[in-house]
Amino acid sequence: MDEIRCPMCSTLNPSEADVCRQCGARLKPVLGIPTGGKTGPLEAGDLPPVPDWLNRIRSDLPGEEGEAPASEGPDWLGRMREAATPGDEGPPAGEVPEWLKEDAPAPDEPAPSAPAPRTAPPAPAGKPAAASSTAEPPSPSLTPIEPGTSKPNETSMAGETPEWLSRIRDREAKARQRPGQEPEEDWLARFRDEAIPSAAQAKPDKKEARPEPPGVSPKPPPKEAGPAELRPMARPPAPVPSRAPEPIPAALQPPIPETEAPSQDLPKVPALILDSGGTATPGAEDIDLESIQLPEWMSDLKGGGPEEAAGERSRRDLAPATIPAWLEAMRPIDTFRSVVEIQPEEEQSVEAAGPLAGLRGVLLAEPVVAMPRAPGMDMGRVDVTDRHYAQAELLQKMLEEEAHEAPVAPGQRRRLPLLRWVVGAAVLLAVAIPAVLGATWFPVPSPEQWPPELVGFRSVMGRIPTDRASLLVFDYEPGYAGEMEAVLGPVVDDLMTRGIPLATLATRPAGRILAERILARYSSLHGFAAGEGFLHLGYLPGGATAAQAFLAAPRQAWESVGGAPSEGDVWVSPSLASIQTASDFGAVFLFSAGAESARTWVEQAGPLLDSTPLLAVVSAGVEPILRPYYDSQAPPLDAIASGLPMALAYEGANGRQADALSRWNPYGSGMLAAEALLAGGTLYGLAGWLTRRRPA
Amino acid sequence: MLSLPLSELIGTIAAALLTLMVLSYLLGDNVLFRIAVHIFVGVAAGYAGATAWRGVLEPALIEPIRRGGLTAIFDPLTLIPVLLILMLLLKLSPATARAGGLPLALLVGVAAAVTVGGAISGTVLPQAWAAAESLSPTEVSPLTGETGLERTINVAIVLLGTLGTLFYFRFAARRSSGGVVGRPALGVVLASVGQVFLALTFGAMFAGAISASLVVLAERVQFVWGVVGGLLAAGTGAG
Repeated sequence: MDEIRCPMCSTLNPSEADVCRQCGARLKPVLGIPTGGKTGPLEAGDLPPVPDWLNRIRSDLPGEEGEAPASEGPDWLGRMREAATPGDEGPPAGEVPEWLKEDAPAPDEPAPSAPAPRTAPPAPAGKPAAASSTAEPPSPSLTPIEPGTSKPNETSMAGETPEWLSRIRDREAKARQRPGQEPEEDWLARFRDEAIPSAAQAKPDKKEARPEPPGVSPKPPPKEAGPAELRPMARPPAPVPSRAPEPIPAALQPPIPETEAPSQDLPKVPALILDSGGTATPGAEDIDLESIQLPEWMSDLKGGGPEEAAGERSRRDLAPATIPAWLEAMRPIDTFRSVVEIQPEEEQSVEAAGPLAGLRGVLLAEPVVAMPRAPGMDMGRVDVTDRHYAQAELLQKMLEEEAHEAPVAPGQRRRLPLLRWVVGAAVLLAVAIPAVLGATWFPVPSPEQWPPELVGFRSVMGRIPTDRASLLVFDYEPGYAGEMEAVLGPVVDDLMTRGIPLATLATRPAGRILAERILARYSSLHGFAAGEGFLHLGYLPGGATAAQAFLAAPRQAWESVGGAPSEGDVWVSPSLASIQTASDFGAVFLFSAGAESARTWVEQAGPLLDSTPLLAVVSAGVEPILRPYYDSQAPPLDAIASGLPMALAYEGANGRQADALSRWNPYGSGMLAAEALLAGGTLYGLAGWLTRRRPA
Repeated sequence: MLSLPLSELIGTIAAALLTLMVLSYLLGDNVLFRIAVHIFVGVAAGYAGATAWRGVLEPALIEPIRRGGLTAIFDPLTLIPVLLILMLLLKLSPATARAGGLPLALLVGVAAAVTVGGAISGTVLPQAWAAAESLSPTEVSPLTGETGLERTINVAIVLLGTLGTLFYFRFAARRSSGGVVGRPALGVVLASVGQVFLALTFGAMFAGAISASLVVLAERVQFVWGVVGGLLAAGTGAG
């Protein structure tokens, strides 16, 4: 069963099929020029209906009603011919150049086939040269090729080749051939061997497709854009070599396989197609192409004039160009490395699917698109310095270290905190020894040595009225009780000594306990009874907001937070009955160990207390913060007491030695030890600094 | 020592032991120190909660309802705080935490307003007045009675310290004609002076903290030694 290979996808189809079963392409091309209503082997019914416009065109042609002459084309084709055959484009049709006449055989001799360019010079760009050549009437001096009588390698065709032209072609072929390269005729021969049989098999009785020489772009498939009658004439222009550096004149082209004419009536193109085994025109070997003055159009077709030919020879003589070293160094090698290794044609795979099925050597898209490629940057051309080498070695070392299993480090020897032990022991012993031994290493300050703040403090204490309660705000945590009780103890003692009723208020949850503790301690000394001599207002939550609210309206603020239920209604007490605002208190004492809370109370109480004195008994660490409020020109703080020296002095002023005296010697010893350690540390750091500076 | 009530005796002994456990931190972080810290934190938190309940929530929230019945809830002085409390409790859940933003914003806003107002009237303005005192030697300080050169020097120190501290916290810079960005020369000098004043202030605070800590340490040592001495005396007396 004969099969037809699809020209598009190379799929084998039954011979009777009209279209490809794979891609749907037409297998039997509609051959074109109507000859008496019969179009080659195709049936008339297969032809598409002739459009009206074409009928009108046909009817306009004189003497050819409904039938286009074989030797004439439509008007547009005639115009193209006219444009393609000016005097400078080539010889007129049927005119043979003088040089050819000289070598031409006698009129009685069989005329050789004239080269195609002479009868149909290549049309300018954009003009369908094949169409024009097809429509050109055969030259009287040339013998057309009889259709169906020759094959590409047949001698009948070769016998029509001028001998001179064969020799010229042989010389050119030898001149182009390089050592180690395959002669040009070889690939042509292979191409013919592959292309022609397949074409002959596909279309044994039709005009064979003209195989494209290598380097020529594949001809696009015929489109059904125009009438079928015009398709042969409107055949695409002669293939333009896409990779050939210069066009090869038709006279120098290798022999092209002969194509069969569709019918006897079709215009016959005298082909100048020579086979390697063909015979050349007698006497042609004596022709020197260089001495022949070719027409200008042929010179152009040859690829330039004599200047260009000379340039071509000079280019051949030139030494191969060399790239400068610096440019060679910049040339990215990996970037342009071939991704797809081109295999020999015999080893290339045959496309199995798609429109290119059956073709061999189809470029695969996958290696180009999907397969990993070399990086775009030329990584191998980076200037590597010693630092880079060092870093690379370091990185490699790190990687090697990570590859190995790290040995289990032995238990790290714990360093003993000797310095901490020394400092702690020094301070602890300095404090403990006087406390245990009861030593009196540090004398009690005399009244002349009392702090100057004590005078002001006691002065303010002397102005506190005794008919109304004074407010004691406990604003410290139990951790500071050891210091605070030592300082505020003498103050509370002095207040009770003066018979001033007291009301305590805690701004911290544990403040109430601390207040009860200190008042219970001194009330027993002065006979103060709870509820009479002193009251506990309890805990006042809310921080600065609560302090501001309490100072503005103590009773309302106290009631808003619930007050102290265990105390009952403390405001009915005689000492608190007259209290409406904070300024109604006899005085406000702030016992605080926190800098922020102490400052908040001072800031909030200052504008609200009017003439009511505000006295602060604070921790030694808070004293620097509150000091400016005491030393200012309009001080919101009327008196301040802090630190053990102040407490000791206050006890001395009260005439009752208590906690401050018992802690004076341990405190003094501890301060001495701390100062010695600070001095020693400072000297050690200074010595180290000087030691480090000396080498520099 | 043994004459104390049992509860007080136990409390005294526990206080002494906890003191020693805390002092054991001198040897390094150890389990005794951690136990003592956990006990202190737990006791402080528990006591704070109990105080808040007994001193605030129960008398201000529960007691009015108990006395006045359910109608007391609709009292604005009770209802609004209850609603705010409930909304604040909604912050416990991330899904409803947004509803707790209102009472939190109220707390923060009011506290900030009170604090800023007090800071301006109680700190900023008095400090400005102190820095704006006359440098005339003929003036007499109404507080201390200083006069003459001594007062002038003191006023100058206050002025210099105030300006220097303010310049130290001024981080703005100016680009000179040469393109160099930096403080003016006078600003750099004043900032350096301010840095000295700040260092002196922090040094004084550190010294005060050491002083307070030594007083506390002395009290604790005396307490522990008193307990140990009492126990030894009690043991000796019993023996």
